Amino acid sequence: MPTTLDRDYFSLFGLPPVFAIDVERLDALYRELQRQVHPDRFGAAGEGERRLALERAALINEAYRTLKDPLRRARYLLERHGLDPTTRQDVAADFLAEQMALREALEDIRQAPEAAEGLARLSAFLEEIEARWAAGIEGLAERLASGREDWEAACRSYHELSYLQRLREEALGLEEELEERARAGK
Amino acid sequence: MAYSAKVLDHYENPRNVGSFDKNDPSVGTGMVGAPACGDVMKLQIKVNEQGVIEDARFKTYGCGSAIASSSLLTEWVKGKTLEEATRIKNTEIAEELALPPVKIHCSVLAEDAIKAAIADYQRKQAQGEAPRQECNS
Repeated sequence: MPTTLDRDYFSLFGLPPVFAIDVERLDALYRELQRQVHPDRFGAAGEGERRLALERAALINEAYRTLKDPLRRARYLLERHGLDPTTRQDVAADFLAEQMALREALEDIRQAPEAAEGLARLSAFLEEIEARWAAGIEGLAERLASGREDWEAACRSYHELSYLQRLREEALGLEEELEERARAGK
Repeated sequence: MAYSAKVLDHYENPRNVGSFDKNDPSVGTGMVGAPACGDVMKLQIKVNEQGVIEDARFKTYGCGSAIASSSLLTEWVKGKTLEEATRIKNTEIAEELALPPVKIHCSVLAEDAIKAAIADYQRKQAQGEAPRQECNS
């Protein structure tokens, strides 16, 4: 085990710093790295070595969570390139208007008198969100394609997907709420 | 997180929720969002011929602080001239609502929204004059 920590998430796994990573390979590499730093292996080791192994395990976990999630992976790549996607505001007005309309549509579903009817409408809604999400991820992958990166456009894609993610969370939350209502027979 | 009493009041009884017709020439619409949290905020103003904001509406999908910031702002801008409304600062909103540091960005969003609404109104007014007459004649 190396005695210093390589803090770059991609090189930590020995992966190229690209958006289009092989997620199955990442999973396998993660299990292997975690095995190497497992506390059981350091029972007899000295204090310093144990602490280093723990620190490394935490870093590996964080790196894995970041690279596994496409949106977080994109953000990491943008930050790695020196862009701070959290302070930028550049989605188109049309996109925001559309997000507002989608939020209103979701609110309308929430008001459905019958939970079953609401759930049916929500399932169509979620399907549309998933389609938009898939298209957004595809667009992001294109804009982050290795060697052909369009960082500005990738930032916009990242922002658009952030809104979609929030919308999807809201929709999933509503799904639980409606299922609850349906079970209660309302 | 604990919300201040003022935030809770606006959250539970939001003022001026709703929409105006965005194609009405006397209406300015400001649409802003915060990608970091996915909040979206729409703020609309209705302006009379004297350049005074007669009425305001908002619709915000976001946290309690974002809702309270936009609700409070619609109350504040009513009766103000466009020039006065432009001068409202996010810090005044944050102070009035006692927003904690992590929620300051919600008041920034509200300030951005009113600025965008005013800009939209002014753009419509500037555009409205010449081309519309040409179309009608």
